[in-house]
Amino acid sequence: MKSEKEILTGCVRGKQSAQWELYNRYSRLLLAICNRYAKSMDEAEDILQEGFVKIFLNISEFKGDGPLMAWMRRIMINTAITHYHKMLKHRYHDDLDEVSESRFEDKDWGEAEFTEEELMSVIQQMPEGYRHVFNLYAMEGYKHREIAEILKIDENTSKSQYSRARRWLQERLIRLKEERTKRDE
Amino acid sequence: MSDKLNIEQLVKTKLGEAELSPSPGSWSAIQRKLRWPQFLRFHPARFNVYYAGVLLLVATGLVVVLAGGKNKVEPAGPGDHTNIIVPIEQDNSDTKGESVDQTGGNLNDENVQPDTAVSREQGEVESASGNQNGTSGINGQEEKSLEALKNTEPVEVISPDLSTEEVIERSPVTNFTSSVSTGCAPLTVQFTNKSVNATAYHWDFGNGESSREENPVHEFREPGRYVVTLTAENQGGVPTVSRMMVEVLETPVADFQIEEGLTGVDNHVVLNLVNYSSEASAFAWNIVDEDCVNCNNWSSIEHQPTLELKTITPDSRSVRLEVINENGCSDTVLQPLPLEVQTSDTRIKFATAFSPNPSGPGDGSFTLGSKRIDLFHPIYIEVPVQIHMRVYTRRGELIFETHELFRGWDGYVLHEPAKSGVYVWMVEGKWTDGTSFSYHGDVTLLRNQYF
Repeated sequence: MKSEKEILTGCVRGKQSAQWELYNRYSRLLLAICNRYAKSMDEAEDILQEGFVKIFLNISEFKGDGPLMAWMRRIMINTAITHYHKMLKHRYHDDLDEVSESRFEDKDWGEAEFTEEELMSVIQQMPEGYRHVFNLYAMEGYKHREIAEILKIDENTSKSQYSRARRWLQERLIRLKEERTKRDE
Repeated sequence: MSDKLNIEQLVKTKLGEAELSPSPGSWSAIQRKLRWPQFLRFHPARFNVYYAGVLLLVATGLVVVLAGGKNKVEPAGPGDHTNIIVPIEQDNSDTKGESVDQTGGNLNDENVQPDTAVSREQGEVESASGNQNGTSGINGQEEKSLEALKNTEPVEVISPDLSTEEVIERSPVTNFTSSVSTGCAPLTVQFTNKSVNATAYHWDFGNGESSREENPVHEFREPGRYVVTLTAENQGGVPTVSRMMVEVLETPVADFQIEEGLTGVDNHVVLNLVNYSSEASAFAWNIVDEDCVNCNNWSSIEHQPTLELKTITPDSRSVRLEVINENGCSDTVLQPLPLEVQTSDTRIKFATAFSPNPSGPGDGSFTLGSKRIDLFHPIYIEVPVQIHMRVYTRRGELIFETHELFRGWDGYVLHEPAKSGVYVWMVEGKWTDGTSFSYHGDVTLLRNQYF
């Protein structure tokens, strides 16, 4: 097994074998991240490919003073957001899908209640405006001010989108549980 | 399993470390997309457009030399540049007309009229750069401006359909790169402005600081994520904006002190390295010697190691601590080993501790330039003409006295080992220039299994 440093040096030289090692080691983790920002698995793979092209072309800019994964992760997220902005023009806007305001308050969840796949697919069904804000805030820990700048929206929009996203997500998960108990009966 | 997760915690625990396997075609798709951009980028170890350009030049040169034997070569006037470009545009209707700067420049410099075979080859290079659209650049802004850059430059030559975007043509195209995008605090970042068509710049570093320089260097002192915004302006156009994220990771602080202590086992003196570092998750201790770093064998990764005196050699100068945190950020600090004092006079110094030879008393002699660990003696930088050294117990009993220049105390009193502890010394003497000196201090006798 090659060390990360060897792989990096190889990638800087443009060696295909080193690029393959890097891809092989990190593509699964990175694809799961892309998938959270994408509408479909196909789109996630598009983002992954575009992101890796950027990674390989700019690998010499990675100075090694932080973790490689954090650097690649940010490239993927940047790519996903760029992709989203590009696609925005061609895509049907479903962000207006409103959520009923009154059905429930914040709820506690058990770790075992849902599988990874179930959660992933619920997140993928999320309206895109919600999904990006939710991903950036809850998963990546960006602040609303930063999200506003990244997504080119208002800071207050980011906050309200986020609380709607939470509500949307919780409502979907409750519905999922209800369907499951109905099926079991 | 916890039943008390809120929605964020639920998603994060379930999906934070999730993995998904890419489809088998993904890798080859990446390689396909990489091929042209890699070719267009200069890299000494790879065949790329610059090497291709050189080959092309050599080929052109050869053709000219061969043709020159029969026909006289006319020096090319300015009109010849269009002669090169125009047929290409006609032959390759799908190209956008942008040329790769260096290749095109080199060809023009040659001042020759290439034959048709050569110009067709150049056309291929150009259509290649057309394929590059949207695949290079670290962020979206860079991509957009790259495209815009390609669209604006050749406007005068061709592309009548682009003339409708007059405002875009006049507006600056904002673009920049940074020397690093992630790093440990304090992070110094060199920003390189790649904007086109602009006359004034404004940088907002996202931490309340800003600059109007063209290529600023900025230090981010605090950890955090910062959105750096570059606004470029010119006369007549709309100001445009480009953004980039810089992440500054938390850096630990290395700090420790050396304290003398006793071991519980046989009560001998050791040095305790007391760790005061913050935000660190791993530690690496070393002894640094006078001439080489890390040449001493001792090292430790404990949080607070104990340093046995037997690991200290006469060359040991200081203890080094390097700390690192989960981000991979590190900090280093050195503390001198408290083993000798410099007097106010730089011509003589004294050790603060010594460890007598346990096998018995010696004659106490030493040589110039040496620093004995088993003797207490003056360390001469310059040799005086006269010396008078006395050592007392703390109660004031004189236990050693000498007038010899190169004799020190071996830690024995009447052939009996003196006890571990602090002794007081007084040294008086005269330098070669006739001035006299007088110093006093204390020295710790450390009795342990040093040798």
